[in-house]
Amino acid sequence: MSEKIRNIIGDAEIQFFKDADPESIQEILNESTTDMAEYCRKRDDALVKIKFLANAALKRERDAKLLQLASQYREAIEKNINKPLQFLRSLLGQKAPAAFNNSLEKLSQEEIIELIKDQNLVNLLDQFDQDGTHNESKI
Amino acid sequence: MDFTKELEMVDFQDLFDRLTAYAVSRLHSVNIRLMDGKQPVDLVSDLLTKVLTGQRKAESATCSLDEFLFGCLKSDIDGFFRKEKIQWLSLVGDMAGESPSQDRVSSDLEAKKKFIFNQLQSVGADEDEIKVFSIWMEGIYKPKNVGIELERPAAEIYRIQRRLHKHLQKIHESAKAYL
Repeated sequence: MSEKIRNIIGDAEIQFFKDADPESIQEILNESTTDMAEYCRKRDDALVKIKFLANAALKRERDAKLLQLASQYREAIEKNINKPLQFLRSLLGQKAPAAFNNSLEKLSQEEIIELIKDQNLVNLLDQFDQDGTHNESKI
Repeated sequence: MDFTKELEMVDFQDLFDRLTAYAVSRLHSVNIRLMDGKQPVDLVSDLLTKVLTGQRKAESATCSLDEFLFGCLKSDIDGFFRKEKIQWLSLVGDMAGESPSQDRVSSDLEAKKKFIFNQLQSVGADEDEIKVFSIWMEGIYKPKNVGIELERPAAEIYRIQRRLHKHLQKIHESAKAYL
């Protein structure tokens, strides 16, 4: 029972700091920080590094998704699965055909990545999951 | 969580300030300025660095990025308090051999709540703070939802909660036998 009260106070406290208006947060920092200019300097220095790392993490995530999708599309080509192939054909039609092999069957992993890199990768991955395309019947 | 989407949308400066304010509030409530020699600003910087370099895995978490970061920070601070045997509301009673004796502690939740209400009032908490605390006890924490319950704007609830946090910090010593 007492743990319940402790958890409630702990959760309510976190909720407050997550949701409080920015002015309240600044007031709390002003009241509790002896040298606000020093805090801002240290925070801003840290933010330069943090934003750099965030961009690197974003690129890493995107590269991993691209590789995973390219592999799934390659598998769809080999198994001749309808829906992913239709999507690739439409992308191939939109891009300059000369830059790619004309035949889907001959698309390399790099060319698949080039085709899909501007798309919403999360949606494409979801589509593979939702469609169950690995089990879909062949054309 | 969709880590990529979260990273694209996050306002790092705002999140940094919120995490630091939380760390400062937790540490100052027990009169501590440094945690393992580090200021709150350094703790937050280290935490964000670890998450962004994959040393702390946020990608597989089912909650949002800010929930994950607050959870990590809470866990780090709780761990420090435990290590240093510092008692705070969230940890009192968790430490071996320091549980309050049965004759001092009522097992009745209502009695504990009443005790805390009295303690809050004794350190100057007003009626609004008691009402907000009562609503927390019903499992409603979001200032917006607390405001709906009390028919008050959220901005006013923030102000009441700020006062309540200060008073909760003041009572932690006297309430520890009951919490």
